[in-house]
Amino acid sequence: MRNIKFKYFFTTYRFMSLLRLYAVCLFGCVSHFAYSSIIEVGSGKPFTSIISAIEKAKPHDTILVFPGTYYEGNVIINKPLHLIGLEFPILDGEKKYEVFTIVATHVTIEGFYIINTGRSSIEDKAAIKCLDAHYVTIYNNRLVNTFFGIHLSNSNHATISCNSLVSTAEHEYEYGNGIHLWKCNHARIEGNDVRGHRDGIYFEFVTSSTIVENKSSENIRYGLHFMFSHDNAYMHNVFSNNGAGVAIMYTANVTMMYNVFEKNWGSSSYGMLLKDIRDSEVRYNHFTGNTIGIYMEGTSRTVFEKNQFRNNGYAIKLMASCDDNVFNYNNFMGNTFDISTNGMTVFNTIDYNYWDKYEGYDLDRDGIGDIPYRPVSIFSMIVEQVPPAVMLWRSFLVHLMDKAEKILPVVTPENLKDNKPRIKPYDIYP
Amino acid sequence: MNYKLKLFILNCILLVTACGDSGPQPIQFGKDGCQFCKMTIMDPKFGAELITSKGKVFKFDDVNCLVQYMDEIKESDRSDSRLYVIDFHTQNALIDANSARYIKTAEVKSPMASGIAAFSNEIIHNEYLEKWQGDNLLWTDLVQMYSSQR
Repeated sequence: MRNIKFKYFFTTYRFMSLLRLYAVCLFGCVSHFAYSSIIEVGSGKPFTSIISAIEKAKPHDTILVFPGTYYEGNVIINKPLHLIGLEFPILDGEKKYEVFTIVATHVTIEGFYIINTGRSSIEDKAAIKCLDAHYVTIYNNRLVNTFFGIHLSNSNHATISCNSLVSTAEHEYEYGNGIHLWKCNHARIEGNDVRGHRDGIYFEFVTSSTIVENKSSENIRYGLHFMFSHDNAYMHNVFSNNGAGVAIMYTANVTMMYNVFEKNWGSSSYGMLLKDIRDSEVRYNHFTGNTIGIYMEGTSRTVFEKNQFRNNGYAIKLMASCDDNVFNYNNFMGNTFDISTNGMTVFNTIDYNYWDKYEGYDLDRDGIGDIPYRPVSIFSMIVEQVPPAVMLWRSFLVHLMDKAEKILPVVTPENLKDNKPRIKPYDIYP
Repeated sequence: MNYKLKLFILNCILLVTACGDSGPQPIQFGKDGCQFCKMTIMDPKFGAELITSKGKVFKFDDVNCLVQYMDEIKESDRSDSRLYVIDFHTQNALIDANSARYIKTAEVKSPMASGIAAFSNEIIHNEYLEKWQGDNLLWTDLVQMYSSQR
């Protein structure tokens, strides 16, 4: 019985399909080796310069660069190639040149150590620049002392992941952006570490892109900067110690989740600056130790839920030009001012938040305070008008004023209040 | 020169600069924020300044911010205030906005995407105009362009 089955197997459809599969595989491999080759670059290898290797290479070839230091000026990649650096070969721009310029699609660059690009205020010289280059992958490179780090313009479907970009400069104008995208779509920026640039990550006219698990810190201006960039998401990033925090401007449909904004401290510094934003979501973020957690101007129809505001000067500065926003289920702890505003009318919803300054009671024990909480203190309104008045903070008079205002609101907006303040904080994990 | 004399001279300079009818106040790149869009001013090729008749100074990172901010202020302040823009060519230098010449082109990547560069020198202005093939504009054109947007 078994024998017969075994005999028949060779003529069955299943066997034929298997054979066909092997044939395809074999042919595929052969054709792969026939049409794309590996070119080695290094001392004692067929090529000693990357430029000459690129010149000789056919589209879709792989160029393996062996360890060493390469002074090649500007390397232009004009065909689809896969460049791999072994043990981080050093490419030195000698403070004069842009290092890689990609003008072809489907290029991959991985494992390079790129240093000292030129710095010029007219041209945006970068370590890796993509011009009209789609489907580019930039993976696992180390960029040190570059003007612009990775600069993409008109390049769609790019993947920029696991790179580290560290830079310093003497003067403010000598700083370029770390990862700079202009007029791109469907980009994915993942797991990069950006330090010491003008803006860590910069988006202008970029759509349908994601920024995930990056670390952007110690940048001169913003950790992340969005301008006119719709339908993007940034999640699980850490933005710390940046000159002015993170700025999201003139943008619609942004999803901001699970990010950490911390230690953005200074006179015009924000955890997050929102200007002219619509229809966006801000959820599960942590704002810790910023001068202003969120500064909002001209923001509408945006949802702020389950965020944690801890130890900020101001948790939220809500300008009168904001409307239809929802602030629910957030934690406010240890902030000097919870919310400050500059107008009397408020068109935003603020409910079910936890406020550590809440002094009400919960007699029916449903976890919700029985009297509303007013997050805007009269003193914050005074400081809004006369900033030096902040000197009087924690003085007896200010305390008295705040208490009186809480009972009989005169100066603070009457309807800016949390009608259902929560008694216990929410668990919000990073 | 002893220390006291130095200090005295320094004080004199400070006094003179503090009292005199001051021209434009230099923009501190990397420190000052734009009054309109709140961004930190970083690029020394672009920028603008508005000084009210009372001497209040407002700084901007791009000319379109200045023009749009002017829509927000009082009519009386608008007519009395002095306006300056950064010269694209020399950089850092603030020039009179009304007499400056402008070029709007996609070649220019300004902080707030206006794409406008300002020039004080007409010859240099024409050189850039030839190079970029952009729109040749005057201050009045800019006001019309950005005020009507709102």
